[in-house]
Amino acid sequence: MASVIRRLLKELQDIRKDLSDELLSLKPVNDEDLLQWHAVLRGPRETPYQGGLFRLRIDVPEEYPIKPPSLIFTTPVCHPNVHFETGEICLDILKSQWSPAWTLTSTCLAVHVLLANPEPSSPLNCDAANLLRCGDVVGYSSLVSMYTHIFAGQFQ
Amino acid sequence: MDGDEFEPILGSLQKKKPWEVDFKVYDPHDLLVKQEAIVDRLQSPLALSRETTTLLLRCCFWKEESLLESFLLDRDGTLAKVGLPEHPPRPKFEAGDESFMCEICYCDGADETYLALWCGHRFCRDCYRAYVSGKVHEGESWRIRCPAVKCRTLLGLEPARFILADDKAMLNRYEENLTRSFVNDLPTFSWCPAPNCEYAIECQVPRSTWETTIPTVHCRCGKAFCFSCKHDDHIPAPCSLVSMWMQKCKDDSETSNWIKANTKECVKCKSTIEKNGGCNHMVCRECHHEFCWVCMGPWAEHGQSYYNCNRFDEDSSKNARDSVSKSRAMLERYLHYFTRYNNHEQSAKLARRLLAATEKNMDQIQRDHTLSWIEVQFLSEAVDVLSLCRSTLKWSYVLGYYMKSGNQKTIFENNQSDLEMATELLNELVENPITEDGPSIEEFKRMVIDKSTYVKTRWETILADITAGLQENRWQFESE
Repeated sequence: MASVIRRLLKELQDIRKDLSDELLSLKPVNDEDLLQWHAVLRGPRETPYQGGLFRLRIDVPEEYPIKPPSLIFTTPVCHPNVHFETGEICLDILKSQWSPAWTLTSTCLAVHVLLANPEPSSPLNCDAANLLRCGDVVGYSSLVSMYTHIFAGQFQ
Repeated sequence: MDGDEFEPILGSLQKKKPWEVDFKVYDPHDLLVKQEAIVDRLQSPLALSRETTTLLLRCCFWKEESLLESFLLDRDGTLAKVGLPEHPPRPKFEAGDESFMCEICYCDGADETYLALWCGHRFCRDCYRAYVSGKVHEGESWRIRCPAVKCRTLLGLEPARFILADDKAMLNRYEENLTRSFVNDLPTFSWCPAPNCEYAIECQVPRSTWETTIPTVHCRCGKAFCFSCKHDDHIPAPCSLVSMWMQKCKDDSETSNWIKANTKECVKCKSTIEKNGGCNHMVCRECHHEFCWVCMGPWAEHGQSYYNCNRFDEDSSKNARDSVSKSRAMLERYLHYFTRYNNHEQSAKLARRLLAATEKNMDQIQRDHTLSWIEVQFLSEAVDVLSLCRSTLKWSYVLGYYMKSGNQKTIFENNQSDLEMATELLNELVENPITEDGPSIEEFKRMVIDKSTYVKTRWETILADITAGLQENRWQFESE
C-alpha cells in the first residue's frame, strides 16, 4: 500500500508540469483518497471529437503500478473501442500490454491517441466500427460529431 | 514403460495392433529432462550461451530444424528478431548513483539497488520482484519482458530466477509455468485432461492422419483419451463424427424432429397441433378452422362422409404426409442408434460398479476355495475386457449412425452384433455369483476365461476392420 501512495504522490507532483493542451486536468477526486482520480481530455484536433471535453474516471488498484489502473469514460463517447453505455475502453495497454513504467498521465494520453486512431477490428461499439469497416468515413464523422456536440459540448 | 529392460522382448511378442499408436507418458521430472536434452542438442551447433539457446528455442516453439536453418542463414537477424543478445550479461543488482531513478516507484539515489537488462532500462530491486511475481502469478514465464514502456527485451530465465531467488514458492511456480508452456507450445505434447493429473503425453502421430488412425493414448493415471480432441477414449469413431454426434445429442434438433413427426400445423393459422385422441375432424383452437387430420383438407369438402376420409390419395395431401413420415423415420433412426449408444454408456458405468463387486467376489472365492491371489485374477481381467468392449460398442453406434448403407455397412454391422452378443454373454456370466449348485470353481474359471478370450478376439476383429476401413477410405459417411 505504501508504495502505491508514494508513487501516486510523485505522479501528482509531476502532473503540474505534464498538463497540456490535450490533457486539461488530472487529479484525485478528493484529498483523502489517492486511489480515485478523474481526468478531462480535449477531443483531438481535426477529428470529429474536436470541440468536445471528455471526462474519465480512473480507479487505481492497490497493486498499481504492477497492475494497470482502470479508466472509464463518464462522458458518453461514440467510438469503436469505447462502450457507449458503460464507457469501458478496449485498449491493449490497459490489459495485456500494461507496463509498470506507464503513468496515469501517459495512460490518459494513450486514450487520447486512441480517440484519434480507432481500431475497428476489435470493437466495443459495433455500430461505430461497422461504419468505419465499410469505409463510410463521412457517416462515421457526422455521427461522432453529433454525439460530441450533444454530450461533450463545451457550453453545456 | 521406460527403462523396462524387458521391453524389447515384450515388444516383439505383443505386436502393435493397427489401431494402436505410439505415445510416451512424461512426469514433471521427465519433462524437465526432455527440455534440457533439446537445449543440449542445439547449444553446440548454435554456439550460443545456454540461456540464449533456451530462449531462442522457446521463441520458435521448439522447432529445432527451422531454428537451425534460419540461424545458419541469418545469425544476427534471427537473434534480433527475438530480441536477444548473443551472450546476455549475468544478472546482478547494482548500487544506484545520483542519476538513478526507478520509473516504477520513483525511488532514486545511491541508497537503492537496481537491476538492468542489456537494454539498459534500470528498475529497483523491489519493483522488479513485484513485477516478475505479478507476471508469474498470471501464469507467464519466459515471455516476461523488460518493464519499460514498449521495450521488447525478454527478461530471460536466469534473471527471472535471480530476481525470485528469495521467494521459493514463486520460484517453483515460475518453473512450473516454464514446463507448462513447453507442453502447450509443442503440438506433439498434451496434458492429460484428468483432473489433478500432472502427466503429459507425447504422441508423434501426424495431425493429417488423426481422422484415419484415432490417436487414443493411455495416461499413467488410468485415463484413456483421444490425443486429437482430448475427449475420453472414443475409438472406433473418428473425432469429426464424435463432435457431430455430441452436438446432435446436446442441441434440441431432435425436439424439432419430434414436433415434425407428431404434430401438424393448422393450414390456416400455422399453430402447432398434436393429435392426442379423438376423430379426424379437427377444429383449431386458435382460429377455429375446421379440417381433416388425415388429408389436411377443409372439413367442409368432406360432405357427409364423416370419420372416413376418402381423399387420402390426392397429391396435395400426399406431399404433406410424406414430409411427416420422413421426419418420423429420421427420428426413429436416431433413436435406434441413440438407445444403443446410451445403453452401452450406462452398462459401462455399471461395469465400474461390477468391478467393485468383483473384487469382493474374488476375496470370497480366494477364501472359500483356498486359491491364491493370482489364480482369481481372471475375474478382474474379464471385467476389464467388458469395459473396453462397452466403450468400443458405444462409439461404434455413432460410427454406424453416420455410415452410408451398403455392403460395407452390412459387414460392419455383423461384426458389431457378434461383439455385442459375446459381450452381453460375458457380462451375464461375470455378474452371476457362484452358488453351491452351480458349476464348480474350476469349471466357472474355464468358462470365464474362454468367454473373455473370445470376446477379446471379436473386439480385435472389429477394431482391425474399422481401422483398415478408415485407412483405405472404405467407409462412406454422410452428415445430415
